[in-house]
Amino acid sequence: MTTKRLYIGGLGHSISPKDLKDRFGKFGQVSDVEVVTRKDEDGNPVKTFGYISIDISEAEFRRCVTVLNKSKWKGGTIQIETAKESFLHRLAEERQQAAENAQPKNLNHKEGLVDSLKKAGVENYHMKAAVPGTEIPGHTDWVVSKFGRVLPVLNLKCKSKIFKYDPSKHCHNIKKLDTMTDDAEVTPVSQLTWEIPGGDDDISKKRRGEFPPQKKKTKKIKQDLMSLEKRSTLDGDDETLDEARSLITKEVPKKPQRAEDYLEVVGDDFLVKSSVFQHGESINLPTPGHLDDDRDYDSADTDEILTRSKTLNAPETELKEYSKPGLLCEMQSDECENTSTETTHLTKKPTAPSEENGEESDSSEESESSEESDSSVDSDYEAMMTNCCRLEISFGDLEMLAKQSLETSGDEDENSHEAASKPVSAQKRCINPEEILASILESSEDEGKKPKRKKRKEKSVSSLPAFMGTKGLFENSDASEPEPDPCMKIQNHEEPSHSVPNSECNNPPEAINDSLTLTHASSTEQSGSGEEQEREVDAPAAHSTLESSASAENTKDETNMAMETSDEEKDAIPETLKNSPSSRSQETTETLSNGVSSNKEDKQAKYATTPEVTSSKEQDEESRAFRKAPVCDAEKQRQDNEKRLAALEQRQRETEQLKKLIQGSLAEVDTPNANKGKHLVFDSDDEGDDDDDDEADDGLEDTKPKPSGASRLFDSSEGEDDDASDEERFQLKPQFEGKAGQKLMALQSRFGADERFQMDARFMESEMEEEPNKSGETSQVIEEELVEEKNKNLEILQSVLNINKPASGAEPTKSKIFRDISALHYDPTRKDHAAFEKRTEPKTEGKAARRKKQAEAEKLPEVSKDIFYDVAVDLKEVFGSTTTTVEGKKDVFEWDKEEEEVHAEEMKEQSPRADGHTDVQSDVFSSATPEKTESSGFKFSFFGEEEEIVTDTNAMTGEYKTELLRGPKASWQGDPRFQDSSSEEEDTEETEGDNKTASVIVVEDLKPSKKMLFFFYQDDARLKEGPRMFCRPAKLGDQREEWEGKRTSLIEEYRKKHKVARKKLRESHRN
Amino acid sequence: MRPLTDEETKTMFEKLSKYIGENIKLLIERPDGTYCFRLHNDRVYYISEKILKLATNISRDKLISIGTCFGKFTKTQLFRLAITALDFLAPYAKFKVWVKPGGEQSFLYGNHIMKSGLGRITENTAQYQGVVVYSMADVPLGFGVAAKTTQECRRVDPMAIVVFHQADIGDYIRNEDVLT
Repeated sequence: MTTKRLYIGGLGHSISPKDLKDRFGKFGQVSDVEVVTRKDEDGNPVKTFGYISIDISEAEFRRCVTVLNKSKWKGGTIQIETAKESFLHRLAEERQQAAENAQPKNLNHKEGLVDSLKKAGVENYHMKAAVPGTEIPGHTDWVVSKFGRVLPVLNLKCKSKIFKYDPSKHCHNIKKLDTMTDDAEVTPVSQLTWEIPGGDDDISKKRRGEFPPQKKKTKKIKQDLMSLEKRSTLDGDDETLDEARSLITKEVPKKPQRAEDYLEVVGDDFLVKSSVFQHGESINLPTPGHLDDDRDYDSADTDEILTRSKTLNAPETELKEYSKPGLLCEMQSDECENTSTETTHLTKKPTAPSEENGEESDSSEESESSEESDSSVDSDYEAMMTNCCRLEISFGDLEMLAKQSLETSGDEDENSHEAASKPVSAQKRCINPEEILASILESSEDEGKKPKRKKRKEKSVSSLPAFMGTKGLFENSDASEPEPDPCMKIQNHEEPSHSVPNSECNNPPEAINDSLTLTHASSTEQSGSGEEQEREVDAPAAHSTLESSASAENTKDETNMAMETSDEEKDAIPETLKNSPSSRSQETTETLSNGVSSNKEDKQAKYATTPEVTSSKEQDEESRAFRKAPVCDAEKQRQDNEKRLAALEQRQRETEQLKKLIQGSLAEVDTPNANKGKHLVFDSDDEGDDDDDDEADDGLEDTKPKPSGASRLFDSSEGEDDDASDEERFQLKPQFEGKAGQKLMALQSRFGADERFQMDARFMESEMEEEPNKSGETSQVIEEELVEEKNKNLEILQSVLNINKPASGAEPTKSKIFRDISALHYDPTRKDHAAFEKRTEPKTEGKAARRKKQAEAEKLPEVSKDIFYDVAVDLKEVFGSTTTTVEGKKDVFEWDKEEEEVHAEEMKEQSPRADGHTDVQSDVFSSATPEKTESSGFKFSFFGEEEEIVTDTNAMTGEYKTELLRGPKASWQGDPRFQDSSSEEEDTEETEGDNKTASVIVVEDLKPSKKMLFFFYQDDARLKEGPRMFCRPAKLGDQREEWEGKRTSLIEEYRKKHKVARKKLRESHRN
Repeated sequence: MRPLTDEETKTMFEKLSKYIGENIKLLIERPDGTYCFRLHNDRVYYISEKILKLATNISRDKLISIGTCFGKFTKTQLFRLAITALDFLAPYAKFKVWVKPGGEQSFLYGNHIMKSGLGRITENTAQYQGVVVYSMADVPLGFGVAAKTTQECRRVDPMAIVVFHQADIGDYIRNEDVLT
């Protein structure tokens, strides 16, 4: 039995597979039947055939073929043939075969390999006792490697190239690899993190993400800066300072962020520390004596001082430019010789510019010069500042210098003194006149050195001083102007005087005192003889100047010697002489004075007459002749100032000493020069000015011969001159002493340039009016205008500030309002704290109590008043009248509620009504009650009670009563009477006014209670009615209905009216 | 040269009061003499009475400058302060600003003051308040107008303008021909 696949063709188109199965089922078992019908294009079946798989034996197959082949079955002839196997069957068979073949093949390969290897002596891929690299026989691809292992030779493909990898040749590498793996295993995987190796430096740290904490380095920077500055200043080396600066500036940009963070906020009261040349310390510093001989400094100034002392070492040119007289002086004192000329030279330099431009210009010049040397701004600034200080400080040093240089030689003395005096003047210029005065006074009083420092400190306290910045400039201008500044004058006089006494003697304090007195005297001279000067100036001036001009050239050298003026003076004098042809005495005097006061043009020159100038010269320079003119003035003034004679004598001695010294010095100079006529002529000029022309001539004659014996004459003349001049100068001193003097100075300063005010206050008052100058008038007019302008400006300013006020003024007011209550402390000693005291006056308390009582009483009576009211009904007329009267009274009277009696009375009044509320009242009241009751039950009764107290007005009260009784209804108009009565009462008895007022109060107090009664009473109908008004009479719905009902009618009405109105309008329009 | 009219005085005082407030009074009322304001060539000069008297001798067309120039009136009658007034404004200034050394130069070249250059400032400075600019060494450098209040100054970034430049002492060189 084999399964055969048969092809059956020629089937009818209607044959189904089942039919086939049934037909061939007879011969064998049919497993698979497949009928295929071929159709043409139209779908008609053309040919039908089928395949069957049948299990059939050969015999059965033959019988089947013979029976069924070519037989007709259902419209077709069957044709049977054996067919090929179906492809599915074949496929399955093939797969099965493939699967069967595949497995045995692989196994075979491996097993075969192992077997073949085994044959070659290899067991489990290991070959014992084989040298690495030996080939396994029969296997070319297998090699013996390390440890006898048999490994295959690999062909590695790498980018189109094939490498042959022979494991035997790389056996040692394997070992290496092994060790490496061991190391790797040591570190666990969790720790295999990415780590950047690096040191502790910032960058590596930052790379690792570790940032240093933010620090505030700005302050440190600042400190560094400060410290650097300090260091540099201490070093005094400009270069180091510059370096430091540059370093700092470098640093700052490096750390801009942090620097930015630093922002200082300052309060309003922050004071600018440095004395910025305009203000503040410019006031403080100029006071001389800052740098004392013993050199005790403020701790704050040490830096400056240090720098200063350092700058000393700088080249000389710089020194000159800086004009540090004090330092120079020091140097001189050290060197002691041949420096005098230098000093003059050096000191001249600073003074000259200062005269031109004032302090500011000085400073600016200095700064310029310093700029040359120093590059950095700060150093410039510092240098400038230090220069300023030096200028101001030098005074003490100058004195020292004066002393020391004095000892060297006469000529040098003079020079040096001049030098010393000049810087002083320069420095002093920037000072207030008052200050100068004060300093002078102090110096004179306290021997002129140490107190100034204290003063300075005191002044430094003032917060906002008046502007002083351009002071120097202004003063300079003053100096150049004909009209003098008082302070300048003083200075000019003072300076030479200072220097002279110093040179004279070794005890400076005394000398200073004397010199001061001298200066004062001289100034007084000028002022005192102001009248005369003015008169004389016109006439004699010309003459004297002519003379002077005539003899000018001849006496040139002589004058130099005689007058002992400084080099500058010498220069000045010849100049004046050359200019003398103009024949003005004023000019000459001016120039002379200039010489005296170190090239400063003085106001004296114009108004002060020549004699005075000369006198001052004499005093300063010890000229011999011409005592006459000053003597006259001197005598007058001497009488005035006899008090100071003692001091004068002292000074005389000193001056004598000075003379001697000067003589000695002159003796050397005198010898070459024989012409002292100049000096004489000059003096004669002065005399001429003072006196008449004749006198001047005489003076000339007299003086001319004198020069021959200069020294002797000098002595003799000087003694007298000094006396006179000193006295004269003394006269003015009181002007500046004490408070009055200061006031005067203030006056002068206020009047500024007006020379009239330079004089003594008395002088000013007395003689100003007598001789008003034309120029003075004009100036007065100008001044008035200026004052007006100033006032106007002030007004405008006020208006402007008012506008600004809301902005600026709001805060201060707030601050004022705010008070820290917790900080308040009661100080019984202070008067204003009385406000905090609680006044526990028994009266007031009593009053309060009484009020309470009163209130109680009032309350009570209210209840009782109903009763009273009822009673009053019977006496309607009377009652009405009383009430009205009461009201009237009320209107009229004033009252004091504090009165006890009033209340008492009130109580009384109420008490009768209340029938026994007297318990509350005092005994007095109780006593009063019976009276009341007696008088009447009416209100007027209390007037009667008042009368009890007010004894005088009994009659009046009586009248009231009668009136009331008669015409109660007329009481409305009866007010005036009450007024009268009240006024009368008050007039008559002011003492008992209290009582009256009290009564009034009673009335008033009563009134409210009554009012209550009047307006409402218990169970008042009005009170009941009132609330009803607020309540709804009907329900809301009803009301609405009502309203709606009304509404239509209302609308209709309205429309009608509207129409009517329109019609009317139209009609009216038509009409 | 003439005194200022009321209006001019007012405008000028208003301007000055921005910087020194009521301290203007101290300029008008000075103990050391009479001082006044004079207008000349549209410029306002602050002159002492004495110099004023002297100036009467000089013809108007020949007079270039007198006293201290405080500023000038523009054609529109606004008042503009000049740097020359600094000497008078600095001592009385109500509100001050200190510039760091690094910012000094920038300011002196006519630039505004950045926050980075601001070293110190007076508290309670209002916006647009006139301020005087100092160096950290307390040298007055000029004046300007506060662009920010003190509080704002603390917050703003470093490059923000804090003070508007108005005048500085660099003007002496830059505007040499204009200044009188």
